[in-house]
Amino acid sequence: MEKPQKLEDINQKLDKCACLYIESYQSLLTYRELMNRALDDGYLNLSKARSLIGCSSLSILQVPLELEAKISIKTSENVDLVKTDDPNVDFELRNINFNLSVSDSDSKEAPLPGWFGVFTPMSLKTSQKSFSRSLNLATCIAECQTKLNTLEIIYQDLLSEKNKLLNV
Amino acid sequence: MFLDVLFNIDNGYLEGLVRGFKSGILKNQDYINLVQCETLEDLKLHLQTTDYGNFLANEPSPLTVSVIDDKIREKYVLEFQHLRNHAVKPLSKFLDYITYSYMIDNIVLLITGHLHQRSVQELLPKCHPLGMFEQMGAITVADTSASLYNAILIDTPLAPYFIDCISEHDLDELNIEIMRNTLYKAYIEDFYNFCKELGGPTGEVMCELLAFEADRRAFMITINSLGVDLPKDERSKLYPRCGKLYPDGLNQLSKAEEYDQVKMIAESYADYRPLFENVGTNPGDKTIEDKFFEQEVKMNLNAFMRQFGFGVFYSFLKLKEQENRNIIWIAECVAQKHRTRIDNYIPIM
Repeated sequence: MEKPQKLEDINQKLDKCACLYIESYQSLLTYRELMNRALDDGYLNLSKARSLIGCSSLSILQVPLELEAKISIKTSENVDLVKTDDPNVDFELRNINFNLSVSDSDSKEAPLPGWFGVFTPMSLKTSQKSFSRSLNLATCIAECQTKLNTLEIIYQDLLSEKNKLLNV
Repeated sequence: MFLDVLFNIDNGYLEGLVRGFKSGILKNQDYINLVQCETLEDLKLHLQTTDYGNFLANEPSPLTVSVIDDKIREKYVLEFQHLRNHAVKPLSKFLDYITYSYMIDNIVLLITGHLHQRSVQELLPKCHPLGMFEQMGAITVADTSASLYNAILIDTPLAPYFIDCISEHDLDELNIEIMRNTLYKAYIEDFYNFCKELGGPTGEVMCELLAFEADRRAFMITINSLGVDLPKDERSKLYPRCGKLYPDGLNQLSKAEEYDQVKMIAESYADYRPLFENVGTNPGDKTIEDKFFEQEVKMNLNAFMRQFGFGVFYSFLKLKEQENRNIIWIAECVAQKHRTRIDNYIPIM
């Protein structure tokens, strides 16, 4: 009797793991799509700004040789207890969170650099914000990716445990 | 009429030449061909069938947008310099006035590049050829506007424009921007007065064009400085006073704190009200800069309806610059394979 119960528990965990995997994969695709769109918008608005103020006013020559990073990424780990349909059956899921932190500020967005002047056209400011948004999306993608990797490992472990039980 | 006849003695050949150059400006059909290009090589092939000819023939593959920009600029600079070399006073002085705006841009480019630890050798090739002057290479030794003036610019044509922006403050990003706009303000007011003194068709055409330029600068400085930490009285010092907005419109603009307030100010002026309608930042919308460019193109084309004036020389250069912007925009869209907004150029003819 114990073996069928264990098998049932493992099956429930496998199902839950598979559902979480598909949900996370869906989120990953969505975030990737959003990030590609943000980058596209950023590059297009940058081109618009270049056509407005001239290619020489918006080029690598305005970027300092020594760059100082305004944003850093800090990681933190937490463990979620994932419950299945049976409230007595659960498993642990380790999540890694990627948090952007801006130096000298409480804001999540980096201050826009003044490399290209102060009275810059709106399209340049829009493009800078698009690139800043893509940073946030990149951290979301990293979180999804690590979650997918963790779920894959958990799924493989559960599958091998199930196979051992079936072969006994 | 008598004075018009005398115009052709010194300037008839050059006016004929500039009208010939103007007829080579890209037409709508040329732009339709350009937007269908899949690669920059296709773009180069299509431009060969226009007045540009084989201007990219000696450029190595793969082509880049900045190379195309440099070669387009080289072509119209050559045409302008030919006109300048054959001009006599007062046309030569008029053409020199046109080059002062590029000198201001070059000075700012050099100072900004130096601020970001770039060498003069890297910066000089990026300067606009129409704005070159002898003392340019030494600009980077100055760290305040006072030293910049005393050491270098005092011997240049821009010296009279520096009176309002000499200070002992270090040249940082905000001060450089204020210096640029103060110089430009003094330059455009001086150019306006020069054209007004010339009078005749030159005065009529140029005063209208320069008034529009002054008002455009006032609007764009206001809009682009929203959210910037700049006191309102400092902002009002940057507005040129030779436009239709002077004095009431400029007073109101100096107090504006939001885009909607700027739009409300423009509503009082019949020339500028339509420019602020149907403007947005979504894909497919026209930006306020686009609307100003469209209006500028219309006014510059109208300048060619007048004869025996110098306005055609100014308008030719401005139309070529717009054509340059159009081609570069199309080239960027082709290079990035982003075709949704490739039609957002400003048609000229």
